[in-house]
Amino acid sequence: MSDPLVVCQQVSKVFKDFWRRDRAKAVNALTFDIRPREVFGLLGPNGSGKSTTIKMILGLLTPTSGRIALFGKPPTDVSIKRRIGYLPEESYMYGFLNARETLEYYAKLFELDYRTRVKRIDELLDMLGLTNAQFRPVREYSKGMQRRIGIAQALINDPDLLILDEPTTGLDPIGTKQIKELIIELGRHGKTVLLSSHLLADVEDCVDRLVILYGGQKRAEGTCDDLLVSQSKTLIEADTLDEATVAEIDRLIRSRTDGGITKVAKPRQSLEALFIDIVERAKSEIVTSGATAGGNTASFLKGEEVQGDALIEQLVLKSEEPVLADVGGRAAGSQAAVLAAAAAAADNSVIGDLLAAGSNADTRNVTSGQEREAGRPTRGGQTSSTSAPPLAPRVAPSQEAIDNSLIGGLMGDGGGNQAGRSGDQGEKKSGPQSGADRGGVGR
Amino acid sequence: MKLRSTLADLDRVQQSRGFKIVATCIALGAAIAICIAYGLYKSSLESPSKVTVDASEYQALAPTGDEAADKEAAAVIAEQRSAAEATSQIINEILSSKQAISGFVIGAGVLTALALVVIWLGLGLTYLGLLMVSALLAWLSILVGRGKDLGIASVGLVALIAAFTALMQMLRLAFAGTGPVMAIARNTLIEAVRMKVSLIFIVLMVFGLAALPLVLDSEQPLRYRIQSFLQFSTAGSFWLIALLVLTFSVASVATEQRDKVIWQTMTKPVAAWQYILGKWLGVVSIAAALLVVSSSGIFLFTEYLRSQPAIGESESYVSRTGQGLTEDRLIVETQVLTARTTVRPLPLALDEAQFEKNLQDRVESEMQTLQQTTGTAEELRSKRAYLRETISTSLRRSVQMAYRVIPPGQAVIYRFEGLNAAKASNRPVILRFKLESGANRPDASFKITVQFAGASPSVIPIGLGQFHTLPITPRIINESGGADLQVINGDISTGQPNEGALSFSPEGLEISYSSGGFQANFFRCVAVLWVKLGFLAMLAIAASTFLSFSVASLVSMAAFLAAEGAGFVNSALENYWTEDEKGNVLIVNTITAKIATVVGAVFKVYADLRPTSRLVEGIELSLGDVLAGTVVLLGITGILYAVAVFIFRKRELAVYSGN
Repeated sequence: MSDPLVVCQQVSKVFKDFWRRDRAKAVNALTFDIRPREVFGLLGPNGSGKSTTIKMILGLLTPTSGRIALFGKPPTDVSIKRRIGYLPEESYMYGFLNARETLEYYAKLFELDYRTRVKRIDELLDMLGLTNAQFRPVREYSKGMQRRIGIAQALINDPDLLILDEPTTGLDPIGTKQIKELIIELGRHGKTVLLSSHLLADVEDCVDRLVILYGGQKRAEGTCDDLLVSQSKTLIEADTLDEATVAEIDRLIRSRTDGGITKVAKPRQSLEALFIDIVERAKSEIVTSGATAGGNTASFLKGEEVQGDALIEQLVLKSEEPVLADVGGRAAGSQAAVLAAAAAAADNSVIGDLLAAGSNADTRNVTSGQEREAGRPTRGGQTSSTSAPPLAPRVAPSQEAIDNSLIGGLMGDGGGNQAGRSGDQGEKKSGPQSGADRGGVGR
Repeated sequence: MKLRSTLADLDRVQQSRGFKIVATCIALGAAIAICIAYGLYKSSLESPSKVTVDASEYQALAPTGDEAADKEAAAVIAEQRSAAEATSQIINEILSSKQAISGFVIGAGVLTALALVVIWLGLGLTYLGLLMVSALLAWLSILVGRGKDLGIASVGLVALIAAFTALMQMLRLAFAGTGPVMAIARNTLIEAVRMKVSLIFIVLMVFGLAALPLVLDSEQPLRYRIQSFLQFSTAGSFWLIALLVLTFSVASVATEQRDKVIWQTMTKPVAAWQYILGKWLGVVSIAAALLVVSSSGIFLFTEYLRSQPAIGESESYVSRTGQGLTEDRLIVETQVLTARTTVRPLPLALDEAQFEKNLQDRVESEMQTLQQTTGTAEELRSKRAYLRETISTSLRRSVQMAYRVIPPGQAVIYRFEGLNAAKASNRPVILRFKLESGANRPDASFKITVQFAGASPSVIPIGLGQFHTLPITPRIINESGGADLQVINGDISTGQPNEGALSFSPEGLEISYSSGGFQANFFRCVAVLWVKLGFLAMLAIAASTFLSFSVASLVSMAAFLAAEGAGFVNSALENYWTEDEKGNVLIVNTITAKIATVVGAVFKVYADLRPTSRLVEGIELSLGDVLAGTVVLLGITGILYAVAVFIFRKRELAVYSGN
């Protein structure tokens, strides 16, 4: 396993007043690390020390004790900042600059040459739906637009480590969805992402591992599956069943186990899904003066900025090398991008196989061990070894095919995906509700 | 729509390379043609008739038989003839310089350079239209009877704004490169123009400069008009730009920290030294642009004023009497629009043995008065040493002050040294003096007699509190570059002394000689002003790295005022007493004097440069002074820079303490 990208060892931060007296202990003996190419979540309620931790990682604060290392160097090392992109909790921009000037400024700080700057700025503005508003001063932007330009400046240098502090704050559900997709895609393409948020549903969809903070201390650490999956229950989805059928199933369960059916409910579409659906239909009819819906992910973020010989080399590589699907993770090595695409393709084929595995592929979607929500964007996916069929080596499809299949899945243009989406939303709970259910998550 | 499309077409034309090349050729050609035409016009003018000395007026008197008296009379006549010839020489040089076109060429060069900048920024047609509109406005103002001054002010206003805008565009292009320093400097430039607070200063300066000619009184002597304009325009511009530099520097750095905008800069690969340097470069660039604009306007209008008729002239350089130059014109050319080196008299050489004896007596007297005759030997020794130091300083100061006072009917000799260059140039020198009396009564008339060693005495009626000048031949300077001047409080010819004692202020007596031209001196003064602004910018930036906006502003302003006032403080300290008449130490005065001494010492270099007053008084700011001052000020700026970088690196930017 490669060395961690970010290492925090027994990090503490105590804020002092003017007279050097201790005022507040924001972070207390925090230890965690972030591995390369993973999306890492930093969760916690307000005041739990998330932002303080991030600021110490970035050198904006000095730890009172402990050690922090980024890429093996201290946070104050200027050279490592070339590989970092940072989006603070609020977008602190120069109000007198317009969007293009803002990105131009930050691009120059990274010493990007003119062509690269222009290309990336155009792509980022398009990706974030700011092309029409690029010449307006940033101070005239809505909060959501300011957030988008903040994201753009965090991505301008194609960072290896992307640190996002509450990235979806101020964004509508469409924008939130886009950001989550972006994070997942960045992770798939070998970026390391540190995501801090208290919007748990947003984090759950994106991260590989997470740490939960409270009072500046680590309370839990692990993958979503490790932390969230309930091993003591099984959830089954089916078409509408009458009471008699339900009773029969209950009797069957009781005959085989000590318990019976604990809950029967009708699934319902989430408000987020309804919202997205309505907006997607409306956007083709009305042109707004604000931010528009975003475009495709910028090519440089997908590692598509290849020219000439490099392009030929990649194409040759794709056609010659067999790709091994690694269920547990992502293949390492110099062809990381290609192999990552292959892994994604393998994941999609698993999803397809699962959907087709029942007697009625359009009506049944059975999960076991973990919730599989085919309608929502997910990470590369870790299937349970007990339920998933073995994967055959496949030749990696093109990146475009992967994107199209994902997008198709998200937009519900396949029958199986449509049913899968309606099925999984029966038990879906929103973030705050989940927190309330658990009873331990504060605000 | 049609207008918009026409404007768009015109914009495309002025952005095209072909247009830029053609416009450049036209601008250069026009500038050269105008300079040549002006030169031809000047040369076609009838050369002013040279002023000559009528030898018949200085013929030797008939011998009286007294050889000594005859010899003395002949010497007096020779001296008077020499003085007349010196005056004629100065006048002839001035009349010759009127034929020179250097000032016009420089002005035309500056305007041409700005025009080229505008053309290559793709704004050629825009600015041409702007100037045509302003010219139309000026013409209309003349038509409606508002006078040509209002017209000139309107054109000047538009020209200043246009020049500033073009320069800022040029600077943005100059800082268009990649890298943190360039990016931050460019961003600072943009911020300055788009921030309302800086725009206010810029507008004030531009409007003030354009309106200043309107308040000049045309009935005043030309020298006063020129000096007033130079004083108010140069000092006013510098103060406005300095306030802008201080305010903007603090605002730019402190508010970025307060508003957390700096987080997104300092989490990029930007070192602290790059951030501070970038900010400083941006601010000094703005200051440079404003200085260029204001100084260009000041220089051009000063040359315009020079071309106006002086008091007693029918037209410029032509006296109504038809002979020579008027006094007003002479003073303008020899004392105001020139660069003079001044030499002040040496302090009185004390008989140190006698001084020591007097000092000892005073010390013992003080010890007796204070009844300090008992105590341990160490205490007595310490007290004596303290008294000795204070009394010695006080005595020396009193002696030098007394040296500058001339009782009625008495004479005092003043020695000058360092006039070797004046003697070598063999050009007339100027004796310049200002006398004060106890009451400075405006109704009283005074006469003094001045006499250089080896020359005849001159009786001069004087007004108190104003400078008087007397051209003198360089033959009064001896071989070692020295000159002795005797000043008598009274009229030697009538033997009548004045009513009261007269005194020179510390800078009220000097010999000056021309050592350069006004143009070069003007540009050196502007260069020094820019170096000062650079120092102020770094001072403000350094303060704002760790202070809030309000506190940093106060600190910067206080330092600026202390620096500007250091010259006054240093000269006032000479007359500031820390003891009362009985010799008792005044604690408040002592503390004040200590603080003032430190402030004066810290900012001595800054204060001693005095570019504005030198410009107004026509005193040379030599290249050596400029370089020395620049080195020292840049060194201090560098120290402030190092301090700012050190502090900034240690700052926890996510903790703001300045709310």
